[in-house]
Amino acid sequence: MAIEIDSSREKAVLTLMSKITSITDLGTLLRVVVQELPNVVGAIGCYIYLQPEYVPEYNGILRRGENEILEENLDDFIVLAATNLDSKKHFIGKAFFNEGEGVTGWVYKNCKPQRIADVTDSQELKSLSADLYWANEYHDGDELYKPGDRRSLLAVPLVLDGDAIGTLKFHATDDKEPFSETSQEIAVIVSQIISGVIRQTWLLAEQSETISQLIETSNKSTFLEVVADVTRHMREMLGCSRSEFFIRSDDGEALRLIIRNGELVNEKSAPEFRRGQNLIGWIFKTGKPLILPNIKQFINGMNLDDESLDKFSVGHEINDEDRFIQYREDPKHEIGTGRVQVISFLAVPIRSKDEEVWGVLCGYRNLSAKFRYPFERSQLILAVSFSSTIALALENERQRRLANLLTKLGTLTQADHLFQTVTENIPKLVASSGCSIFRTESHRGAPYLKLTMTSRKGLIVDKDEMPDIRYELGEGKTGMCGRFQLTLVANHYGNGKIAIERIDREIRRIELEHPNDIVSMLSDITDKKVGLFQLRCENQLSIDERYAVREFAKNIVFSNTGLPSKKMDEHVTDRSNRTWSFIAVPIASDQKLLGVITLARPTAASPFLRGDITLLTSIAGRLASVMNNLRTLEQREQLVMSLGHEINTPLTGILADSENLYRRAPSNTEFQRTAKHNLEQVLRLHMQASAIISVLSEQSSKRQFVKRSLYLPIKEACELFESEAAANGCNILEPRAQEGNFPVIEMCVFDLTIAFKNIVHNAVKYSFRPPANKDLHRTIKISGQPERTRPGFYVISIQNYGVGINSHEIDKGLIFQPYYRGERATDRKRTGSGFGLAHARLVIEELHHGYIRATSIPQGGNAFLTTFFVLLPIDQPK
Amino acid sequence: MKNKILWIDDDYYTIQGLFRPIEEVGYKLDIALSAFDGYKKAQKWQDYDLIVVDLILPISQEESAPEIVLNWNNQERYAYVGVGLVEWLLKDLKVNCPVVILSVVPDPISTFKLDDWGITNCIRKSGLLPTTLKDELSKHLNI
Repeated sequence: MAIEIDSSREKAVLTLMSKITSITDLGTLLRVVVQELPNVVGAIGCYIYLQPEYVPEYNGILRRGENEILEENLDDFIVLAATNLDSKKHFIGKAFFNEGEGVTGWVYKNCKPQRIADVTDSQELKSLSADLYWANEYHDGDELYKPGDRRSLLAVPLVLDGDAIGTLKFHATDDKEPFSETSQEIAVIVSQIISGVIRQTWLLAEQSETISQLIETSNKSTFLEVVADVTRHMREMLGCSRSEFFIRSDDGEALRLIIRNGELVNEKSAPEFRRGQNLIGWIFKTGKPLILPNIKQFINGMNLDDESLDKFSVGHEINDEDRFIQYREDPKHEIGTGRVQVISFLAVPIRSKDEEVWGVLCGYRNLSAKFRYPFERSQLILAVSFSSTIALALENERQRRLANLLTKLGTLTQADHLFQTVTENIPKLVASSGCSIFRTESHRGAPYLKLTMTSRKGLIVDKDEMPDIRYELGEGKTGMCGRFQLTLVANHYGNGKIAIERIDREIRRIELEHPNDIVSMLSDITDKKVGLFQLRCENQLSIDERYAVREFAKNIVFSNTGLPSKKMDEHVTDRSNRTWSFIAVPIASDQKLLGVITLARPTAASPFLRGDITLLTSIAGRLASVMNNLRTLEQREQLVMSLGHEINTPLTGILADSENLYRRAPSNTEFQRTAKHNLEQVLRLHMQASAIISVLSEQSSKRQFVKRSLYLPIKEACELFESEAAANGCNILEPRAQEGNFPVIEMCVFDLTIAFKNIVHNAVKYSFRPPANKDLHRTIKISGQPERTRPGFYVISIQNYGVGINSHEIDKGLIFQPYYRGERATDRKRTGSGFGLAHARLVIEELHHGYIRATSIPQGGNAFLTTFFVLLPIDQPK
Repeated sequence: MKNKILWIDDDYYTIQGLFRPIEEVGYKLDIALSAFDGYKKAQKWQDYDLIVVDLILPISQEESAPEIVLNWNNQERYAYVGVGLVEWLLKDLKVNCPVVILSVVPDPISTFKLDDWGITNCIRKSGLLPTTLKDELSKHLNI
């Protein structure tokens, strides 16, 4: 039925609709309804009655008046809201009508309620529908009304699914026709809408528990588990036939589809939308985004000849400004010959706690299929709750990644690896087009910052292709105080003042009327040496001012640009007219600048935020700590290497002279025997020195590998200690197999030879001269064979009879610790550096990825049969 | 047959015994104690059968040195002065005699990616015996 209403009432209807569709709380909704509805219906006041069973959170919603009358009877109707009570002293909270009574099923006649059933003979009432109860009445002395007043009442049921849940009652003063037919019709229509909105608030109230559970779960689950949960709820609670999650790419410039209907999307085929093309500001057409103006044209019939628009979508979305936009189209509408598929969709941004858009959550309904209606406002709000859950999961994921990164940094021992790990991982935590690390170096005592590692779009730039960028402290990308940045920013800062902001702890903005004041200003704010500053000015600085700025920069060590304001004109514009946001965070320890981490991304992808700075600062702090440790290690290493060189060089000279003496000594003379002994001792000395230096310098991981026969280091070790073994009454049985029978393995010859020398020397040193009945044991047996239990490994065993090793020393690995002296060995007052087996373990296990094990079996008395097993892989792991 | 070896090593006086077996078979050593010294003597590389270079070297024992030699001290480009010297010998001077690295630095060819420079051999000085050195160098000499 067409209803004609005047413009003022139409405006009232629109105002009411606009307000109630954005309310999610029942109490607020009802208060707004009673305030706005009288204007719509043409009444002076309005009451809303609900039956108690339909009032969730009964106690929380009731608003009782000052003179209320309380009688606990839940069968009564509850007056939930009312307007224009004035002198009637009515109350909110309860009404004395049982079901079917009064306005809830009665009409007034002469101020006395009459049952509908009793007045059905009234022609006036018979003409009304069973759903609409109304009455005009005249005052006849009721104390509620002043004498002579005429009150007209209109009562409209609130009906949901065929059940009356309450009543809307209007009252007005009208001498002739109190409530017109139009008013009655409007009241009926509005009552249906309000019933629907009430249901939405119930739905939200019911779902709030689910949302709470979801958020609680998201704290304990992985990101994918949370997405799976949300996907299920979007299907069950929102009736989505399809759901999609777009997450910002690492460089922050695109939104990439990662999950559709709970399933990970193939990364290669995942659609990506540039910033500005994303769903925020766009709607979908058959899975592709269409910019809003185009769709508007299309809907207005201005673009119908575009064959690609055979299908289109309608949708709801919240854009950046939280505006609610809705597109609707008649599902039966056809365009050309194409079949029109009408889809309602939700596109809700996933925002961080800093209000940064991390992604978009989308839900779809095919209106021509199961669901007849587009998404409602309440469902949109529910989707926002889902997006908040996703944002929480993303934040948790980010914190997990941060924790993992910080942990990993502590395990790295090489600067290059350290910087690479940081540069690779930061874009995964803070979306950025590029991440760079500048390291502080010095030239003739003057410190400068040199680009050490950089990534673009998440990929490390090869060192050969990396530009040679050096800045003075505070200059260029490492700080705003350099000429480069000043020039760029000068074009975008328009009030002729210089401003410096300190943004690491508190914003402190100082604006100067004249650039000449810069020197005094700079000295005022350098109270803390390491900080985050922004410096902007409109004009180029003079030479003196530049000098002052540079000096300032040296003190504050770095500054910052382009963040975290949302004002585009505060960012830096490059030659392509793209504006960029930068972060520069110092890597500083004990007020000493070790370097700077810089990040950049186009402001079109949104400027960096304070949360990003906080996160980056925590990484920089950890990095500084690890760099400090590495620097200490490097210094120690340099010292050890220097000492090693100083020791090794004369040893090499003595060794050379010793061999020359031995070689030139007459055969079978005392002179030759002495020369040989001297040569052996020098070789031992060299071996010990090498082992000590190697253990102290922890340099093993840097050794280079070649493929050689395993026989070579063993043979050399056996030959070296042949004489000493003989002096101990033993001999060394080196492997009988010749070089060709031993496997060729990947090894570091130098270190492995020293390792075997140490093990063999250990066996020689701790061997007894065996009794006659154990003559077999007078031989130190060295043998090798393929390791049966570990394919790809070869095992060498070195067995001797002599001083044993206690089992707990083997079990706890004590014998492989530096400086450790075996409990039984000390009893014997044996000498040794305490580095021999430690070095052997370092070389075999850490350098060669093998294993060294020992057994020591008592043989009676003090004697033990001790065997060292050395397992070495044929090929080193890649 | 020149029977002459240029050995560029500042530790010559300490470890000279290493070359004794080679000297015994008739080779003479010409010693350079710094990179600059080596630079000067290597100009006449045609006089030598072999050039042996240590990597850890002082730049010069004189007050000044040419810019090219000073550049070998640039740590960002060359890990050791001797690496710059070897590069100059093989790439700039284009010497036509074998160039052998004799140094305590482990495996410099792989470490510093010198594979395509044309270095003849790389011998580790630490623990080296004169006879071993002779065996190694004999591959490049007529011994």
